[in-house]
Amino acid sequence: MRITRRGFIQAVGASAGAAAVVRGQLAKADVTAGNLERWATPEEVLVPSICQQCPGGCGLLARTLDGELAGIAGNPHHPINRGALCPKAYGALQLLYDPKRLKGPLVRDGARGRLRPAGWDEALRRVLTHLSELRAKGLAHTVAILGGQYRGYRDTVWKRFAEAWGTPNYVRVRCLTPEQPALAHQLMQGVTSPLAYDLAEARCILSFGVGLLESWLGPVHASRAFAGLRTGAEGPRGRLIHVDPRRSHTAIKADRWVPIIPGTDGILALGIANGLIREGLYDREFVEQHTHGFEDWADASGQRHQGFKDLLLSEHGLLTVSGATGVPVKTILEIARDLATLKPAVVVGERGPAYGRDDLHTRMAIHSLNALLGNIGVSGGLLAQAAPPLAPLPPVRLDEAAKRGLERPRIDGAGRGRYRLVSGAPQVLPERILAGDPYPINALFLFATDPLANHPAKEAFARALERIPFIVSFSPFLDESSSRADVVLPDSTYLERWQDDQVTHLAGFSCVSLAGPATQPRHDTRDTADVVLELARSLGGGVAASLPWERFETLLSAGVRGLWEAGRGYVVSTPAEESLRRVLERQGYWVSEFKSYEEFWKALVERGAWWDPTGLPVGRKALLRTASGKFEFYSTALKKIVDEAVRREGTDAPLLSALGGRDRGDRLYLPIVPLPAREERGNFPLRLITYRLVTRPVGGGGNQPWLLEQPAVLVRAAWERWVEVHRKTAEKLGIADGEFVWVESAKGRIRLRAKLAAGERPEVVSIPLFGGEGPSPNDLIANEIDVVRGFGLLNTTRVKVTKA
Amino acid sequence: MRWSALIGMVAVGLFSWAGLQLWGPTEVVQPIQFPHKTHVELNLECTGCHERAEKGSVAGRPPTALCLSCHAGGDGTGEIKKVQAYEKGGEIPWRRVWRLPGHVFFPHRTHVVVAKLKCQTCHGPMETLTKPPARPLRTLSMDDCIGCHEKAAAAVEKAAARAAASGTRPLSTDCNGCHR
Repeated sequence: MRITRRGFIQAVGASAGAAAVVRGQLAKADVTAGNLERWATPEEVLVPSICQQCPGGCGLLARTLDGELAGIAGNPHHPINRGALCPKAYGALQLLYDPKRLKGPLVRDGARGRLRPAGWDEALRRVLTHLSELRAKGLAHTVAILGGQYRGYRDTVWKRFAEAWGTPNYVRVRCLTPEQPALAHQLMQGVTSPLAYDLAEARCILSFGVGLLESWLGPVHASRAFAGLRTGAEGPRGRLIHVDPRRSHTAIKADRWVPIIPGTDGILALGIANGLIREGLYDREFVEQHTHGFEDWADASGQRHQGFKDLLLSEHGLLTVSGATGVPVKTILEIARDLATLKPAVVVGERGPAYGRDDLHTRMAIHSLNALLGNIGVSGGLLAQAAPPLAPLPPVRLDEAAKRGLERPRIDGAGRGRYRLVSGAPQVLPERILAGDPYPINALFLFATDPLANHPAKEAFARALERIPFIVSFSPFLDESSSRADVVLPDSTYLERWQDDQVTHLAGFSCVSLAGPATQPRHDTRDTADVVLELARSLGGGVAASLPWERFETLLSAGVRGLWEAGRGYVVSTPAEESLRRVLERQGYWVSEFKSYEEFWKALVERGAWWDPTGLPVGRKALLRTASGKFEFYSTALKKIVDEAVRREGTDAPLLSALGGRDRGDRLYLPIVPLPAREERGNFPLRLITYRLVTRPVGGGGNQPWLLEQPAVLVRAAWERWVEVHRKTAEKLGIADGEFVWVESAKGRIRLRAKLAAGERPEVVSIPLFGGEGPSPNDLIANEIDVVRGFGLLNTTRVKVTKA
Repeated sequence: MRWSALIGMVAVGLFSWAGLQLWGPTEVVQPIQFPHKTHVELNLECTGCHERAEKGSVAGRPPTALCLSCHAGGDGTGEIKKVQAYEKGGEIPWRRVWRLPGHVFFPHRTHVVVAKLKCQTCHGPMETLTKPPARPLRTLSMDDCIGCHEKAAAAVEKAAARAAASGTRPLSTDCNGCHR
């Protein structure tokens, strides 16, 4: 090989050039590799949060990558769910990343012009101007606030705002009020905090239509309690008896499922009471010492009153009960014997289906079984939820305008006449707004509710909304109701804002969950609580003085300080630490983990919840707070309410007719459910039952397709909607499994796919209730109000089914 | 002679009838004219009242508290009023109708719960009675027991493997199976 000078220089040049190129590329590759590494291993932070898909309030751990939310898991330290979650929790991600979310505030030009994007300043100014005008005209009371399902300090903000502003019309649309005990419990026991059901420690549970394993108080902790009942105890496993016309998940998992004629649960409870009394199985000691009205008695004026026992034994014989409920006499007696022999037993009848005008007495009858079993205030029986020691807030400062406004009657009539027993009656709002009765509504705030989506009175609500000159919506989506609003101030979703939840737990301990934003708001949205505080500040005067907090976080910090100052309870931590502290506390030692409130607050935000597992109000004194200090079969509290109605309103007729007639004498105050008259079935021979699935959110749903995809395993269905029809009924009607049918009521008809079921009563058809697009069973249900719970009567409609 | 033979025959007949009355099952009169038919038509199961049939050897009569759990209130007929008279305490003095010889051991539970025999198989059509039976509707002999056991045993043998797998007790025709 011959090397020339030219060749040598070329070779050196080429080598130098190649080296330079490679070096440059290498440097670039180095940068890219660094980038790649950073991209592949972003900073992962787990932030505690609180699930808001149902009133269960489970603790979440939100997985964030460089601040972006990427996953949801259960918070293993949270005492409500201990790391477990139901399918609904995971839908939160799709709520957050829904492409249809509003990107910022919207305002409408003109009376009913188009909605257009606007800045927060402009939108808030418009609301302020309107509100100030109304207050100046003395029309503060004509502002109505319609709220949905939320709890804790978010409710406090709205309540204080309504009061300080001067409107009595803060109305909630929700089927559950988890922060209140059922009315029957209030009237018979005098309790003001919800009852706790110690299911995990019970040996026998009798459930009247409550979906323990589906969508009761909170599916996760109810399921955990059920697991405790079955496998947790050292002794024999507990027994679950479930009364339900429908073959539900709970019915299938129960040890005994009792299909019943819908609406007759109270009569069955009285049949069981008859069995307990007749066979001498009831707790005589408890009944003699701690109850009032069991035997015949005489009041101070010497007037004789019939006791519960005599009335029950003479009117609710087992054959009569069996005829009315469709439950064999033998089954009734066997349930009574199970309850009396498997102690402790607990009877649950709270928050199941509504029973119409007999609802109150049905729940009283069910609750009376707990007294007959003497399980009130004992482990494995009924306890009371302990209230968390949150710091009291300064009183609301009422100015003259507020005082004037609050003197006006509520637009929904709650607390008077027919609606004397309820704190809100949203079902009557459309007709009252349309009639301007007792006064026209000039502004409406919609928060966490969409009455136009699937409310039984959605058409009437739509007409009513047309009559309101100014509507403000706080929805993060342009849903059916917010698209009629004049101003939309989009709320952040619950993973983007400060959260608190004062959840109730079946085991009775008090628990407060707290969480900061898991991620920054994705769009130009604001936490509604902050917006209300800002509005209050701008309005000035008494309103500003009543809501003096800069931000929602400041309010939370002020309230939660009470937990620190109470000198009890713990910020949740690892099980080993918790066990150690509980052992110490049993020995009489309680030592604070933190030196200052700031440390306490920081730990609370980092871990997600505070709880007090030892401070349970157990014992009969804590649970029997009536005037007589006893469990009252004869409810003197109900008598007082009726007497007061006469004193205040001059008549008790509307209240008594709402409770089933005025000629009931002592029966009105006793847990006696009248036997139903034979029902004329007419053109609608079947009874519709609506129910909730553990896999489907009730509100929304269309924007959480993961959840719609979750199969309903009992009927092998996903995505679409369906109606469950008994095989025999379907055979008579010539309907095959999976065929489309029309389900028709007096109100309307919807087309659904039929799914054939067996085991339940042949006259029952059931449709699951969930949000999203598609036919809703609420389109079949008349807009009737449950005068005891203030929600719609969803289980009292008769229907017919025909082939489509 | 003829007359005396006739008188003798009549006398023998009378003695035989009297003997039958004395030694055969006597007519049982119950304190209340209980109609089985009415109760069965109300969808009450036999074991709903005769509860012990599912639990022990003797079926027994229902306790009065059980009758009163249905019949305590309302305006009843004369017979129901008789039941209501026991509200203050005491048991209705029902009289036993069915008796097996003392040397026979007959567990009701085994026949009702395990073998799932209908009550009527041994007791006859009780569901048709509008008043209490004065004497058993069926008189059982040992042939009835053996016949049923043999028939059922043959059926079980056919499915011997299944029976063994399910732990079903073999049907016995051994004397010691029923005789004490």
